[in-house]
Amino acid sequence: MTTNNHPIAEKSKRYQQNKQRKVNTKGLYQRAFKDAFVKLNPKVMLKNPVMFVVWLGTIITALLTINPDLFGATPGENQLFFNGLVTIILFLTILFANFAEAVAEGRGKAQADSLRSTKSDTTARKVLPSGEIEEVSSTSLHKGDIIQVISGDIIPADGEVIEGVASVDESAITGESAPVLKEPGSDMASSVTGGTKIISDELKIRVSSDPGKGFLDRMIALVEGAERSKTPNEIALTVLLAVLTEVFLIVVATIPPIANYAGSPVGVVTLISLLVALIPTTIGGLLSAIGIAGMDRVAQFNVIATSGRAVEACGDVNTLVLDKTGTITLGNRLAEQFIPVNGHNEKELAQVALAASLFDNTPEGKSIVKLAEKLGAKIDFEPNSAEGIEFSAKTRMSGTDLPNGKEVRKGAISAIKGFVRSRGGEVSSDLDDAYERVSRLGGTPLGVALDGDMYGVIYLKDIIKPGMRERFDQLRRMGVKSVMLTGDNRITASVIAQEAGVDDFIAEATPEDKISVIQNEQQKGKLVAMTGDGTNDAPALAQANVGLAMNTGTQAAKEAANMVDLDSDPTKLIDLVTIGKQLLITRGALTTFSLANDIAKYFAIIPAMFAAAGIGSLNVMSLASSQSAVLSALIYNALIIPALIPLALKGVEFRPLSANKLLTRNILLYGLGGIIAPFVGIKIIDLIITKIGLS
Amino acid sequence: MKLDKSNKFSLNQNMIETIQNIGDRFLKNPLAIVLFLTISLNLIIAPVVMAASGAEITRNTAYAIGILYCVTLALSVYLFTVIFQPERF
Repeated sequence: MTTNNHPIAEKSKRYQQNKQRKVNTKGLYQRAFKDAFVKLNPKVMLKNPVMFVVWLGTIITALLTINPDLFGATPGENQLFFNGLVTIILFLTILFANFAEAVAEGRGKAQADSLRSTKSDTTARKVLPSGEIEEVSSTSLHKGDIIQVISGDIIPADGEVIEGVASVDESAITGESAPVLKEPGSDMASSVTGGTKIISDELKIRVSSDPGKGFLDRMIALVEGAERSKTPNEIALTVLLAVLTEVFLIVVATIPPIANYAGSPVGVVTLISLLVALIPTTIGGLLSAIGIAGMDRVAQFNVIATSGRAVEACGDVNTLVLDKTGTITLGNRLAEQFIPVNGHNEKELAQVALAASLFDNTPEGKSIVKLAEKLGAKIDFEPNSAEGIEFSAKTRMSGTDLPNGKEVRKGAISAIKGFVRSRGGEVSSDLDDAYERVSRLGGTPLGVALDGDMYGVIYLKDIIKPGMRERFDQLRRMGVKSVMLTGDNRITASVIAQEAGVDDFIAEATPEDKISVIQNEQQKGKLVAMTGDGTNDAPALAQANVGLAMNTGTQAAKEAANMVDLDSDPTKLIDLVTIGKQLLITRGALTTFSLANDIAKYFAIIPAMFAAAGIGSLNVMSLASSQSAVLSALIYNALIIPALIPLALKGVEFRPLSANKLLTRNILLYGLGGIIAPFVGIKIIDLIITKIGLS
Repeated sequence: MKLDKSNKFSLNQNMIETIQNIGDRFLKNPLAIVLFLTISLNLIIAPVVMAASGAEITRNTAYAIGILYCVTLALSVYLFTVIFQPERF
């Protein structure tokens, strides 16, 4: 298999194509620059306590630039020029922080614009109670209305198909060009999304959302940030930053009496400079950008999160509950071998298996027909006179009632055993051997019987998706436990679990087992993530801390989940955990860096302030003068924000390590780096401003 | 001249109405009221500042320093609000 054909590589390529197709970032920086000024509005600034302090400091220094003696005579020369420079640097600090937030928001807006382009007012054919059809605007449709759509129409609103069968092009939402069949009654195929296009036949749809509250509307509002509220972690960090700011404000406000007593009076501009240098402006300025960028990264992965809280929760997840089929293994199990029992031969078994699978349109059923025909089996009855029996979770078997009154069935071994006994037959001892043999190979054994006669076992081969073992190893290293749920028997489940490298499995599981697994884990204090698509998954999706619904799933599942995967790929849950962790790590790393920066800034400004008091020995960086020390620290403080914007938007490079190893690594990199970098940076800036004569 | 009971009642009524009026205006335009209260408060702070510093500073400087104290105090109150009610921000 070449790299290009690798499914994960193909998926990644498709995400990139989607990203390029959907998001138009042209003019992003110009818009962000403009928005950075708009955000200077005090009502906006009030939402960010750290930057609000800087904003207020800028106004005071601006007043002191106009009248340097406003608060009394200030020591030092050329105060007007110095105050002016400080004002400009503080103003730029705010502007850079606003710019970072505006760039992150701009990306979301670009994504929202492209989604909005798929949503346009269309004319809908509303079916009136009398049965007549009235043409109305799509914006006047309400929940419960019945509409008719025909080939070529854009579906005007979200809804459930109640009549008709048609192909729908969902590429506007999912990026997937292959049309999807929609029909009523089916759990998966009956839900349609407004903005998608019907490309054949016609459908009658019951509208499931009021105007402006459809799936697409909610997606637009979320990626645009209109409904963005601070996440619990962001709130906690905001409180920490406010506490630090309050402490430094009290410290700085009480300096003047001490300074006067020490015979080294300090000017208000220098005090404001010290306050701005000490408060954590770097993380204060980048905090919201990091959160918005996290949402954006999830959206670029073609997943819509209902809140930033959900993205963050991904990073804290301890347990992943995953379905086996479609997530760990490739969705389509294929018939590999027929194993005859009870004295029958392979050809006889193939003949009965063909008859049992004739009306089975699942990929498994089709593969059984193909294998049987390969072995020379032929239908020896009139198909139109036979009746297909569909698979149900209750009977756990499917088959055909033949025209001659005989019944052929295939299904779970225990179900087929029951069927044979109910028809007066006996179960041969070699059946259990065949069952065990298939199970030990990690395959699914399907029993085949004709009335009371057991014919044999079909070996359905399950193929584990490439790279799954490595991904589960990564998750384990990150401290995330994986639990596989499968309807297969215990032996098959254990073989697949071992091969895929999952930590735990639940065999012969019913959809209801999902919720009990989640509740058990949550009772142990764990955060659980799961995927689902059916209506019966909805309670579990709502119960899980992170519920990822498939876009092909039912409306109930999408409503219950806090994330929707537009590509309907359950494996993506693993990627989401990585994105969530990356978001938390990025925030932690930049907070560490920002706080560590304080040490160097402190050693730059304090000796400069109290030079007259004889603490020049603390001037470890040998800065040229008190004014150049203040200016260097502030310039560094301002420049570090735009320097860190790419890191805030892209996220810290993620490594699948344990929490302790990550902590040690980040403390060394961002803690130690945060101490050393400003010492070097401030010294270089000091040399430059002294050289060009700014101080 | 002594005020009779009805005059006293009417005076109380007027005062209550005035306070209610200020309250309503505060909700509609808080900035104007805040500025008014700050300047009023400064009438107490500025003389204290001037008295504490002797004759070293002018009256204008004393008023400016008084306002700076008020701003610092308001900033401190705002930060405490963020700490105790972060969800409002």
